[in-house]
Amino acid sequence: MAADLAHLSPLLIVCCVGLGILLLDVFADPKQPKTFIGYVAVVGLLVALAATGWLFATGGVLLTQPYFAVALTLDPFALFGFALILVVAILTTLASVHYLPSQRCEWGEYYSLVVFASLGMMVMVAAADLITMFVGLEIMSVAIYVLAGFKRQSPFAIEAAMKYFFLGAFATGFLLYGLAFVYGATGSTNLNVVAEHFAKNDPGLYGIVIVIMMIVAFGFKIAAVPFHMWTPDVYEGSPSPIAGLMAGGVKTAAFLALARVFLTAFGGADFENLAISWREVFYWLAILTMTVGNILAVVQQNVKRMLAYSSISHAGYILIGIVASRSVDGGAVAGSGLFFYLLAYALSSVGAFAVVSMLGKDGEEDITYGNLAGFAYRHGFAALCMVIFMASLAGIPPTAGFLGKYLVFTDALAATHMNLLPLVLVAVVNSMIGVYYYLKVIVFMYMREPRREFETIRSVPMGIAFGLAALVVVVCGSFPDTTIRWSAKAATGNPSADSAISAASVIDVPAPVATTAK
Amino acid sequence: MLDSQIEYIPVLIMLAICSAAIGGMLTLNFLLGPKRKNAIKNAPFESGEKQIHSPKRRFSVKFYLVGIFFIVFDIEAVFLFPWATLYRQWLRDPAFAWVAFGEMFLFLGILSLGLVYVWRRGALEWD
Amino acid sequence: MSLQVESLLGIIVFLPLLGAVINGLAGKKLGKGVVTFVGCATVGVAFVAALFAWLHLKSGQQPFHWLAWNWIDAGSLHVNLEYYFDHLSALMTLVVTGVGFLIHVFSVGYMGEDKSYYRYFAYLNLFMFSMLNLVLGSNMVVMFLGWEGVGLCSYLLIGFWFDDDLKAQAGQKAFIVNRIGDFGFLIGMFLLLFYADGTVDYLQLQSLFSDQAREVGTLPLRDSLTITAICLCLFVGACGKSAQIPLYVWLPDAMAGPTPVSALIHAATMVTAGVYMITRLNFLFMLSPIAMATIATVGALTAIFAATIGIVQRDIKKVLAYSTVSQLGYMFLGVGVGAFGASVFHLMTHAFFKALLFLGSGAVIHAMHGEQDIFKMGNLRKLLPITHITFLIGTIAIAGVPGFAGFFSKEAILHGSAGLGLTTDVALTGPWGLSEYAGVFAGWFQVLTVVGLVAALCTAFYMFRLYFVTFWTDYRGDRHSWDHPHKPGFAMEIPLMVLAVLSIVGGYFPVSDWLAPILSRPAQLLVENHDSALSHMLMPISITVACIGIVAAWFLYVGPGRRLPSLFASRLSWLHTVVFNKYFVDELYHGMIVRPVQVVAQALFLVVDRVVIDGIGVRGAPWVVAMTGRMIRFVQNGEVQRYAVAMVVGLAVLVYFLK
Repeated sequence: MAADLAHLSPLLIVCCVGLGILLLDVFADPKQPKTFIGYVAVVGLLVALAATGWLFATGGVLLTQPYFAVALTLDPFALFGFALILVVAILTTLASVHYLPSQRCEWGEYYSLVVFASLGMMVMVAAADLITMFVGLEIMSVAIYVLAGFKRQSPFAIEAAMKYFFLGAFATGFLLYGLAFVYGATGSTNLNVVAEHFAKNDPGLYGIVIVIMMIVAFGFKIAAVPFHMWTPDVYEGSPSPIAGLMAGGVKTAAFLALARVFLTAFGGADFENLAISWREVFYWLAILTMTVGNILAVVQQNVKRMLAYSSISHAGYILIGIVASRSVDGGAVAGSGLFFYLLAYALSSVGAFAVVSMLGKDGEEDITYGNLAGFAYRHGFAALCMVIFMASLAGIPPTAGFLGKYLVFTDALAATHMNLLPLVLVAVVNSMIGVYYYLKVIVFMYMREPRREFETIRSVPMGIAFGLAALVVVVCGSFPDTTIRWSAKAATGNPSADSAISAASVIDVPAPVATTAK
Repeated sequence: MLDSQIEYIPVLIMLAICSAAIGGMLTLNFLLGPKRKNAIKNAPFESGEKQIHSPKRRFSVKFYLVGIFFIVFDIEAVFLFPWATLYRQWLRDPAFAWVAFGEMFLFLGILSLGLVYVWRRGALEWD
Repeated sequence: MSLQVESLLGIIVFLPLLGAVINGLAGKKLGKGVVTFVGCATVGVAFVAALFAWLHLKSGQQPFHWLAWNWIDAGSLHVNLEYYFDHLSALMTLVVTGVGFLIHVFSVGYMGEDKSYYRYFAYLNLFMFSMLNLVLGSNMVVMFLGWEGVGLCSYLLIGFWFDDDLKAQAGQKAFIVNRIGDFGFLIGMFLLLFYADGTVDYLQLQSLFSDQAREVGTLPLRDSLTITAICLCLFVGACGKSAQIPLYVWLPDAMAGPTPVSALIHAATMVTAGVYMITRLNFLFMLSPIAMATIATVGALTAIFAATIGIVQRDIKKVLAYSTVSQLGYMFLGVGVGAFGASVFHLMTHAFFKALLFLGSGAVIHAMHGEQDIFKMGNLRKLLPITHITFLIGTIAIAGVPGFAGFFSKEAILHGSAGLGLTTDVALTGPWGLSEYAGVFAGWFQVLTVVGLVAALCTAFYMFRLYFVTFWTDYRGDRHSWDHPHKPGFAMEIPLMVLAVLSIVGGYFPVSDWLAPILSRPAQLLVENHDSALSHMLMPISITVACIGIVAAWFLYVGPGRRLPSLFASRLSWLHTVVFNKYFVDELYHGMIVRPVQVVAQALFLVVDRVVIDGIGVRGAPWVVAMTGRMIRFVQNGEVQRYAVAMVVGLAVLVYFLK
């Protein structure tokens, strides 16, 4: 029990931090600026990050008590996700502390909402049960709905929040339908039990319905075409750091949860034998997503919308990692590229949005390329960081983004269960196109004279946020060994779909499910 | 197909019939219904009385706020009931009973933190 | 000792990077003197280091590696940022740093008054770094790093004067066309990676493919098709970077950049990357006769095509640009026929004389206050004596007059081509399957040789036309420029003189022999069997050809036939118009790309379309914009209902597929 609680410490700490700063806010002097709440949140999240690091170093832990074990899995897969989400949340918070006052939306709830959103994401990636995952998803989503509309005096923000909420609710409906069908078909919502069931029984029609519902639901959260339509509007209307959180955090969590659900519960051979397997669906979704995202990104004039479309196209690349992943006999998931890519992508986009947060003051935030003109001459460091993020998103060495693409593509080429060469070729074409609009940012920053004085927010914590992100992106791109090892560790930690028991044996523990749900 | 799955087939059939009926009625109504609008017909009818003011008047947002608080704390009670009824069974395993006890009070504690927040935020005051 | 030699590579590669960083970050504050010193000294020291490394290699030592760092070393994946100094990369490094240094020095004079002086040197140094990565990298990934890097720098430098929209557009064009090429290169690289099971190191690749080569006759069809596909994809990349048909269109436009940039990037170094890459991977290309024949054909066609355009251009830099395209075509003809050594030889001599010509033209343009039309110049030998002499040497060298550098290298390429054509009856069977290569395409290579000779004739003609019109005849420009020319200073004249010397003596370096060690066994065999009857006849023919070209140019532009060119132009005005407008290829591409009438318009072209329309703002086909806009607006109109509908439609499609 005590050991379990210690092992759950990342989640517990984050939860306590969220509650604590909520109260801190209401008990603090209302006239004081809320900046210090942000710092408290950062410290709390750092503690949680340290706890995560400690658990990751031990290589994943077993939850002994059945009532924890049925709900959560703390394998390296989940812990990798924790760390990534926490880092993104920390950077988002740092980028926000001076952004909020300048946008005249400084309310202390912001920070607790960010923390709760992160908690939701962490629960999602650690969920061993579809219900837990759903709860995590909702904790995250509700917080994000509010955060998206946080600049509540702006009509764009209201629009963003409402759109995100309506469509999110719509997508959640699909998830619940899918979940209900899973329960109907197998009598359980536990991923491993579901996997066991489908290992013995042909999923048949149920399998098809479940797969469809789940793909729609996750497709919405990861913003895969054609479930992506909300993305540009919502990113544009949201506070820029929150757009970063959505691009870097929400998407990471959704992808990891997706990977876990599909590879564990629906990874069985019978799911391959459906009329068309979910891998094939993701195959086409990946092609569609990266192509549409890229093409539409090219024509954008607004930088936030461009980043939104770029995040859509990146969802396509990450889907390649999902398609290439495969549960193998030992219980491991081939394809550590997925994790590396997520890391590179999350940090680059959260950093890019942090830089974008600098632009615009006094509640105004219309960031076109023109507003970036000459940016480099007044904010050399921020521009340099932006160059790094753009290079990383474009996949130019020696940034993490390049290696992410490289690893995902090589994973895809090495995949034996499907011929993914065409997919890789499409991805290569797309990444060539992508360079155009990323480079455009750089060109405007360095090679255009500023048209008019554009006010910017000068903020040290914001600088620390994108500086750190840039540093990590470059270090991971230049000295990637450690990160690749971590990614590989995270990849092997994912429970296998072929056999629920061997899933647990990867982390040297007995399977938790056997004791429950029966 | 499993037996448990077959059980759901009537539900599916029911679902299909319902959707067809509702969708059909709405569609037919839309397509076939005569539409002659005039001012009198469009006026809301309240026992023959003429309306005093528009029914589209806004309610104070506080009303919804209180409503939501009510629901939130209602759910608390909803969770408490099954917990209380099952607690007697759990007492057979004292170790687990303590966990269950603790969990419920943790839940209540978090809710009361919420109450503190709401109170400090001033949301309980109507003005 | 060996440790020191290896670390020389570090100095060669990273000093220019250091220079770029210093100038880029602090150049504004450092002042001109420091910027100049940092910019030139880093490259100069790199050249000296390259000399030492070369001497080491020349003394009979083995080629050596220098590991900068273990980039990726996790699990089964190993990619190192590693450099490799062998005979080929030694030669390339010397050319790049040597010519690069001279051009840096020249730039000091040429760019002296530019307000973004420090930015210019930062870009130039960054270019040196990228180019050195390209030629010194020991594996495909490092080469790719450099490959992308030089593209970026080229883009930055073409658009250096970005205030001018036209110049910024030229940068965009270069960028987009290069993207298409790079796309081919990346695909080829991935295919290679796929085929070679993740091997990226040249030496490992070479041993891998040498093993296969032993059985080339029995190479399974699937493998030989894959190798051909890899080679063709890589060649598409080479076409983009090295301006070959059909992707050459960016190079003439790239002349919008500062002239020293044209000399360095678009004549001497970057554009030869394709030739270098194919030579580097000769073990691979030798396995695919089809790819080789394609390369040779494209090269020969480019050579003649660009040469004919060069005949009628009026802009001094445009003439040189087309001449560069044409000479690059020669180099590709050379690699295509397996004469790798000859090609790299020509690459080197071309770097000398073309850099010289470009710098000379830069001096002329500088003196003429930015005038580039040669028909508004004339008699400039009076004004610019040193420029005149050096330019003349460069012109003689490129025209192929015996004794000068260009003659030897061009000769070597044509020799290779003609020799290959005649080796059909030579028994080249054996395990290498060369008979296949030479046999099937035998007659074809003779045709290509003749094409090459005609191109040589054109080259001699238009280069001397350029020379005569610019430096002889009467002055036709405005008085002010004549009375107050910007005389080139020492910083500009010294590089010209050095390059002029190199353009003469460069032909006496035994490059083909020097490169022999890096060639794969089949390539060596091919070279050994080149000796044939025609190749002995070739020399008198090509000398004659060069003389005809020169005399014709003299006759038509200085001598008694001075009225004839305008007569030709008016009598055969349609032909003149077609050629002067570069066969309307730009317009053709414009029409093809901008108008999506083409049913074949693949996704790629579609995107280029948007890029062109949106990015450059070409208003060629407004309805395309309108249609696109309407399509996007229709789905992305901000209505939340429609978004939900899109989701449901997506769902329906899924259901359809999963049914």
